[in-house]
Amino acid sequence: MIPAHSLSWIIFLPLAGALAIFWLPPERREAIKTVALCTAALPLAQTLLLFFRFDPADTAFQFVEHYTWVPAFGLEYFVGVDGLSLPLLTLATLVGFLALLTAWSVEEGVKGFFALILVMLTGILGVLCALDTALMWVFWELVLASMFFMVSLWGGREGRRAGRQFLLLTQAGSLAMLLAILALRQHTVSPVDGGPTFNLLLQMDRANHDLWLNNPGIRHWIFGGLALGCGVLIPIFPLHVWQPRLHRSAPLAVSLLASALVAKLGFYALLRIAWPVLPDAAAWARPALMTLGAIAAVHGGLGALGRRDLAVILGYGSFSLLGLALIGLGSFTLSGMQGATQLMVTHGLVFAMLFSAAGGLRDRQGHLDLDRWGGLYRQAPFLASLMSLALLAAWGMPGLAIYPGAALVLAGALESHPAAAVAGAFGLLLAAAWTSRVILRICLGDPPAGAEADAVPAIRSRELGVLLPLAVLLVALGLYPRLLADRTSAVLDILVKVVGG
Amino acid sequence: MIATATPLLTVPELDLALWYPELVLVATVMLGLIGTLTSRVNARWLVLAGLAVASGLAVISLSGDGGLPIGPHFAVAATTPLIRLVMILGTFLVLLAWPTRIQRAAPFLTLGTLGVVLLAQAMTVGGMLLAVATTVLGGGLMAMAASGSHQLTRQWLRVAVIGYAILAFGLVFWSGLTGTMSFAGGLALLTVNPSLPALAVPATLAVMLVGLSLALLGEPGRLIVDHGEVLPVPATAWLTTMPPLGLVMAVQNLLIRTDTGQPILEPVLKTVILVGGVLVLGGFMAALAQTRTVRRLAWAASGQVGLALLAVSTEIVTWPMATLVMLAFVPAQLGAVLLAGPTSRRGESGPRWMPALMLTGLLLSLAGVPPLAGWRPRFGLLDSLLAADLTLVSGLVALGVLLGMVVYLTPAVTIWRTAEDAPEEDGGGHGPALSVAGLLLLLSLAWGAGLVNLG
Repeated sequence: MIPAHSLSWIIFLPLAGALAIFWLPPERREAIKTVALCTAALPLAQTLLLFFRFDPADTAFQFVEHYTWVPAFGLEYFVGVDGLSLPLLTLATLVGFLALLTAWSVEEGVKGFFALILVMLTGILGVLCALDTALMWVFWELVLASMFFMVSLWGGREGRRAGRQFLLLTQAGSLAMLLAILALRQHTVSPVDGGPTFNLLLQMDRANHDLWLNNPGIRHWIFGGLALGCGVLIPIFPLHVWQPRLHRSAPLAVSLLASALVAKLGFYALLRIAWPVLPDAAAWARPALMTLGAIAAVHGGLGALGRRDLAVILGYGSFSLLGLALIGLGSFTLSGMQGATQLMVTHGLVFAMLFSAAGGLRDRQGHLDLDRWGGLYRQAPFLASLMSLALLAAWGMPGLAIYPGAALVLAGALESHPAAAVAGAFGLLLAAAWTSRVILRICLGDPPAGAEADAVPAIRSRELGVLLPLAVLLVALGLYPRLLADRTSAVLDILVKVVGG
Repeated sequence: MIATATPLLTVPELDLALWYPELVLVATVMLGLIGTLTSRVNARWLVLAGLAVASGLAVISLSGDGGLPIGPHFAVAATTPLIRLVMILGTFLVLLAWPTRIQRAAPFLTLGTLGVVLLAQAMTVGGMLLAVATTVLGGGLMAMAASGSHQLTRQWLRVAVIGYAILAFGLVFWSGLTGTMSFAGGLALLTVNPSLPALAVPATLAVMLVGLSLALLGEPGRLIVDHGEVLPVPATAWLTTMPPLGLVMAVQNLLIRTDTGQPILEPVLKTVILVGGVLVLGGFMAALAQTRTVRRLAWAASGQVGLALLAVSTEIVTWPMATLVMLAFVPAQLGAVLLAGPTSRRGESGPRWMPALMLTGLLLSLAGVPPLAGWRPRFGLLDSLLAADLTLVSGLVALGVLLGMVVYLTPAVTIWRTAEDAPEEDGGGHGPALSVAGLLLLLSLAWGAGLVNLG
């Protein structure tokens, strides 16, 4: 039995949790954390229910809710999910829940930190469910604002600089996106009332576009605005400059959210708006996007190899893998796009696990410097094993979650753009290099000179609660990728025909 | 209600029934001054009562038809009753949040409010001169009475007189150029008079706009920047909110109500774009350089006015958005200054989380972050500009929105970060100011989230 207004409950329960937290006294830290966790658990349970009740054969949006919101601007509260958004929605609720567990060690400003994570989760879930472009932008802004506060307030001195940089770049991108959304709205005529509309479903039908919007040059500009907004968040090279500083300074729960979820919003908005509404412009921009994806795949891998701070390494590694996903998106083939959507989900799981494990390491010794770690297998064998599993998955080891997506992307890219496929494969090779370096430096070898044998405590139950389910999912999705593919293939089939045809 | 009823007192061309709120304001100023001079009554309570009555009458007049001329120099347009209500109610809330000991400033505060209310209705050269003089006089006297600073007095006189003189020069020249005292009639004449020198119209308008900006933005701005230490917070809140609102309404009156169906001359609109652009960029950039929150808010008020003027500059397309920009700005700015003011001398709001949270909410609204009020006019403005293919203005507005984000979101972080340095005395975060700011925040949230509709 699916409750009425399921998606609204899923979207707004975290926000209700954030409001509830503000009524708790700040000294009751455990209560604040528990309330936050409970309000994140409910959407997770409900999303899992939707995941298994979803009809994969039906290409239409399901669980739809549609109301008028601000009539003066033609804004609607219009939400629904399809095969593209549902896997990401499930990922978001799961990773949001795990991020709260990862943030459990935060002791300063607990109330604000947990409330902001919940507000951000509402924003992320809203973006993934919105079928009105303006509504999507409103949720998008909510994500950016809460992220800015978390980075600036909990990132120390460097976090302030990272926050300012993040604010400037993402707001510039968001503004470009807003202008593109408004331009789309102005020149899409609703067949229902003859007026302009933010309704994404109507915008997808080119028959509703007026003469101005059918001008190829204009469509390219609008696509550029959308791509800029999404590109900052993914991030696409060279808009990724905010990322290393953020990972260096922000709490690891924030890095986890940024890497595993926020980056996906950029991809999702491209696939949800830019690809189906402006397929010709997407085809026009395709060589550029694939080139940027190839640069990201290689640059990210090299960047990860040249750093000592594990958080920054993971940031670059994530950037590299997302470059591979961008190559898949730009391939315009079913296998390439299938691979990219799989990568979006599995990348989130892998990097959620890695950032969470890194958080555990930082909690133990207060730093993530590779040169000052070593011998983790001897001191905390279970933690080291789980971390190694995630690192192996990150380079695309067969049998683990990243592999099916990466293989499909490379296959798709080979069909359409072999050079990009070669660059993507090189990126995976670099991933193998940086992941092995991390395993060798942190997990294997001897503990650093002077460290006592029991300096690093064994895995804690909370860490096990985060890492073990993720590990199971990594193996499950590696061995049985159809769990995702079955839900995404119908809608991707249509999308490939739209952009390809 | 009153607007449509048979007037109790009617003189030719002057329907006083439409002017009940203004009449109450005049009476309040006079009674307040008498009370202050004789010290026989508490002027603050008297003025509060007067403002409450005027607010009530302004609420009643909301249901009137509007568009009626109520005198040779003033008129009520469709949006005026709402703006008048915002001005009077805003002043009431400012006074409510004001510490009791500064009661002698209350009558002057009301005089300044009368000035901005008149400014929103001024339709002629004479009307505008009277309205600006009343605003400047009321605001300046209020600031002096509240602060007791002689240095402030001299500075206020210098800036206000210069601004007012420039405005008067521009208005008189405009009158000579067009041959009429009426703005609407003047614009109509300009439209059909091809014999004027090409630069005469925009140059005159530019002079008028510079004079208006100096008198209504420059004077309060200087007072706050140079005398922020001695100027009480509610005075700052009023000075950075009401004169800017009056300025936008005055520019609308100058340009919009042509009543002729003729398009406004392009050079006129370009001049407004120029002034609006300068205010947006200059205001927000200057705000970015400020480390104290109130100074930042004071400078950023010019940026908000610039955004509204850019909306006005498009003639008919987006000028309702100009009103909406200011309607979203006023409650958020009032609340933000009331909360940030006492602590801005050190750049933070204090360790209590409730005022800090409320201030953050108000700053987010000023920045235009959804779902608080500020995002709706920005969204609507950009939407309308793009619909009209006005690329230059869209670009300027977009840049202003981006700068505004940085201007407001930076202190929104700072107030949380530096809580340990909170000053010992932090009156703005207490009692009435907190309640007023909370009310204004709720209003911003309700409007932004689409729960209520204003304008």
